[in-house]
Amino acid sequence: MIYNREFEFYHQKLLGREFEEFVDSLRFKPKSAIRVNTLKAGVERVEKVLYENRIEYARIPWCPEGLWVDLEPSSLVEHQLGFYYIQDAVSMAVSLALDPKPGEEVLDLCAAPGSKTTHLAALMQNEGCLLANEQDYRRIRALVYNIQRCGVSNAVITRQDGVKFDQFGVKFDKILLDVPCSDVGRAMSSRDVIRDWSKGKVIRLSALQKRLAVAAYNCLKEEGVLVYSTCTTSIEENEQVVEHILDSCKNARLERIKLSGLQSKKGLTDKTFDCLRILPHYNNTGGYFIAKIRKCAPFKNK
Amino acid sequence: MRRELDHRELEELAGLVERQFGFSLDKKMKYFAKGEKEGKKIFLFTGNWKPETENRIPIEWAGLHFGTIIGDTFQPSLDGAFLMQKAGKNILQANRQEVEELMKGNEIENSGRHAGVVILRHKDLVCVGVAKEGEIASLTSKSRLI
Repeated sequence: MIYNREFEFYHQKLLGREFEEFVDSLRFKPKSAIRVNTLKAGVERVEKVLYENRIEYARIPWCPEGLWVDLEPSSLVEHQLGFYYIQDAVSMAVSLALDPKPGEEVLDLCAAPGSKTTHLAALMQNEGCLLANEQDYRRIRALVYNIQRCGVSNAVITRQDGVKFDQFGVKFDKILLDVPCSDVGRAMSSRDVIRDWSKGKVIRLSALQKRLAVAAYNCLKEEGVLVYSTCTTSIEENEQVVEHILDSCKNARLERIKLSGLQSKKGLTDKTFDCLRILPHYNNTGGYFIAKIRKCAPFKNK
Repeated sequence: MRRELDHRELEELAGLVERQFGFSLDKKMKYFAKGEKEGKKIFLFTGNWKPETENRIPIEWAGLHFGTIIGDTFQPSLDGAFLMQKAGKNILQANRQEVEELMKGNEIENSGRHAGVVILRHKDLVCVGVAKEGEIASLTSKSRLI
């Protein structure tokens, strides 16, 4: 593993006794996983494909459509036909935490490449409206490809700066905000993550994340729900962003996330206790942070 | 430029798909068209469409690419063909190997007297090809080849 003293010092302080186990987990790639795209196939159907191709599989406890696999089945016809999506098992928890329903209006503010967008569409059964926004034109191509491949027909794609998205005045029942981050939870897949990590970068990203989070919150309808997520570890990109929403946005309330079978820890501050902190060694996945915030109806005097 | 099909255009599309594939379009859905050099691309949108949303936010893409009208022929996309489960014309039963060959961009033998755009099926697997004398050529787009 690449040595970065600043990274090591920061995480030793953040994780304490857990640090050694955490660093050790970054040496190994997370267990491969796929999510069955229920818009096109059932879980049993995909299990049959895996069996016929001698790929070992097991169900992922927190995601009914998720399967652990010992080999990523990327070259099968069923993959190109969109029967399943190769996706880190922990990121499946994000869409499940948002829990979109058919008929709702849902925004995925930083959508590319589309793993969570397509999961949301499947949960919505292609009903309602799913607005997938991505600012980077090159990343939109991947988003379009995955939306098409998965047979998503209730989505529209926009290319706007997420920070300014609230200026349009369009409101949503549910919003997923999976922000750009320092990616430490994916360090096992890319050596650059640790090499390029610095406290300065974290601070810069945190500032952007706070602006995105406030813009997203402003796009919620009354009683709407925002799920904020990152695939990183720093308190500045996680708990501090959630605290920023709770402190600066009217009627924001943090809610508990219920996902059985997913090993996680609580947020690191009193106010963010109901967030999920998932380090790679908890579930043999990437690392993630998930928070669920409701925009409560304002209290009305009778 | 993307625009919603008007009543007349929708009837024309429905007629074309019915004649070619024996498939009845669900006219309750929204269909959009986007003109391109190689034909008119048709997109299907099954969600709740709010035109006022589009007036406020410029939209890059909407719905699922259902197929392309080239001249007087409708060429379903891979995912459009998947949706046309109840189609009854120009459907060829294939084996898995034949579907895989077309998904690789290869040609397969045309054992019948089929001509024009055909949907090949093996159980729930689908692919689209164009049948000519002696062969069926793949219509799988580059990005979807295996």
